[in-house]
Amino acid sequence: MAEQTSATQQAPNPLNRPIEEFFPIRTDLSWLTVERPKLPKPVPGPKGLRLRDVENEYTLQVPDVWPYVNDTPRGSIPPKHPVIPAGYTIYDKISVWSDNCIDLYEDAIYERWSSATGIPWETITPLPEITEAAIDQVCTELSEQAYLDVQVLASWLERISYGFKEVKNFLATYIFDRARHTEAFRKRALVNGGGLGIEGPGIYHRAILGALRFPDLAMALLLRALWTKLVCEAVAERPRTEVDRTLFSLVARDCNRHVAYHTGLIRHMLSKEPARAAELHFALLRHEAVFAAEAARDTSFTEALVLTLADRAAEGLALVEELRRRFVHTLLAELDAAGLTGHQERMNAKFKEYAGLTAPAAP
Amino acid sequence: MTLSQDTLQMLRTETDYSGLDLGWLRVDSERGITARPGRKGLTLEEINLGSYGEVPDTSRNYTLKPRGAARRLSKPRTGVTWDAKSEVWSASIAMLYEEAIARQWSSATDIPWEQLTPLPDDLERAMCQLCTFLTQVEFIAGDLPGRWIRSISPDHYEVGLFLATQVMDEARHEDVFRKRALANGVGLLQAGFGATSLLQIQDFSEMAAILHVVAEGFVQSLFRMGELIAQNEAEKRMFRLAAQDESRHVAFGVTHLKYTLETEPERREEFHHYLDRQEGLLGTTQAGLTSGGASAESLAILLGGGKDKMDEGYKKLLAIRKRQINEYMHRLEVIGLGDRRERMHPEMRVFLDPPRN
Repeated sequence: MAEQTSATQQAPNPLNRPIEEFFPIRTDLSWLTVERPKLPKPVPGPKGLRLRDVENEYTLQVPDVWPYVNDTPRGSIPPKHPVIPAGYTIYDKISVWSDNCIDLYEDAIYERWSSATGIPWETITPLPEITEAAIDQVCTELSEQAYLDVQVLASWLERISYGFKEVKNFLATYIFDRARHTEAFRKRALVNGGGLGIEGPGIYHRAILGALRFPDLAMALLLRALWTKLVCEAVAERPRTEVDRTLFSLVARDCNRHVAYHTGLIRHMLSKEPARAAELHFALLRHEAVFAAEAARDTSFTEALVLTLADRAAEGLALVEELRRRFVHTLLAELDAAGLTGHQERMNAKFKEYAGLTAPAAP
Repeated sequence: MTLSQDTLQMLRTETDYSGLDLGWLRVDSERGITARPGRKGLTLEEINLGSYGEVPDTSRNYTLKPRGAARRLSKPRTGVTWDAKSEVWSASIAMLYEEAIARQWSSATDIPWEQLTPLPDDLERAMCQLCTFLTQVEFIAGDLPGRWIRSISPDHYEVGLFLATQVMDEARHEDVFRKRALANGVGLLQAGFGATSLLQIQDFSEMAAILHVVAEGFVQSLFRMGELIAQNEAEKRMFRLAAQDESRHVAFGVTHLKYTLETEPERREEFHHYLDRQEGLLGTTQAGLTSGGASAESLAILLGGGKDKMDEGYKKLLAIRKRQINEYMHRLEVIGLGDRRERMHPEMRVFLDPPRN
């Protein structure tokens, strides 16, 4: 050891060696002179300098099929030499694109929050034991669902090629949001004398995990995001504490962006290939069936939500029924607005029942 | 979640709850937890109370059950995750996650873009070329951690959450360097080899060694010298904020490898293998940013003050490389790989300062 240390100390000062020895790889410096279109000077808007402000006609052209197999940035001069290919599998824009993702990405950053400091935890006061347990159970399952979304969405990133960078940017915020939801709901369950409840039944997890193509995943996540948004809005409208009002409102706002991305994907897809409506209807139908199956078995969440929204079961049950009705009607409205019309006729029977669109089946 | 006897008695008799099964109230998770916000708010460390703070060394949780929640026996599995805490853990993980949340920033509003003034063409192009390289590689640094989150047990969920913040950070870096390239007239320039080779990594700790400690460590050292590279306050802020993020990523890599080495010392030679390979690449490619190719050329122009002063810039770049390598060595010592000093790649070892006693 002493000999080796001594050898290191006696090495010539590297800064005194010919500079060329340290920089053996040189280019022809053509990048210093290559002809490039002169770009206009961007002007920041009221929310700062956003991507939309700096992108231009050259860089914002997103091809329907991305041609590069590595991390060549859109708008750059592509390499002339062979490259190491990435493992991208999504090269077609229609699978992932939504025109609003560039804005949703910036909105997500603009609307960022911290569960540690953005929620008035210090104001929370003890609740009746059963009410606290109910909120904790709701939070247990919402936290679990959020972590699954983090896992699944993160696993898709390396499949999406660079050309759809705005989608990758937006999905990063989606993953980040859901990570925050994971811990924010956990914190809520552990802050007021309660604790976590029982894990969820995990049936709908399988719909999300089992989606093997991105549009299918997007449809599965649309149902989850919309339901989570509406649940959170409902809790925020009838909060037991100021903590709950703040927490559930913030999560609902995040979920609103997630819903907007998924419906934007539908809109883009149908604008390019209207015939794919049948594929989307079918994906939704399948996911609705799984969603309804979980709802039927997930008495822990349903009952906890009932007692989170009201002290008396009858009142809470009515509110949950209303929530389900609103869920289906909102879903149909979102689909209609995205151009996926006529889903009501194809919808899962249980969903129709939630919405009062058919009479319940005889027992 | 067993409730008090009074409440249970009330549930049996109270008509307010008729029609409800309430079986979920009689499960065996711990209750009576009252976490209190600390100086930095209600952090993950503050909620690690009772059984909720017991991070198992071995997890058999294959259903996404949140740590400390009661188990549902009928639940189907959702896929296999790594059992061993040592595969992924860092002793600082909760702190690193909260710091990442607290230090989020916005490229739209936190960079003084109005101070981005017109530059001489060679300097503007050099900055755009550097930003082209950076915007090229940043997504890889998000895609790769994203790959592993799926395999992290919910019992070790803090790691998954931290990596989610890294995905976010890297997206923002891609966005800020792209904005810089597009904001001053020239735009993106020549794309190079990029960083797709990092996607060939096969193991979590290999990622920590190569991506976090080597690659991000070298980038972080460079960004910390951003005052020399930047030509105006907007660029200085850009590098400063990005360096802050990279510091967390590097800290994760260092603390993960340290933890794993302490708990599984037999992996020492495996870690050396990863570093042997990556150090060899650093000497012969532009992976370290300061060793060659268009990135080094652009840095030489920026550091020297123009294309006619590249030699001066290269000298400064060598000084930065020296700093990169010595900071890298320091990180290795923290990990417990101080013996790397003797086996470091010769192209790097020549830059090492004598060891500190």
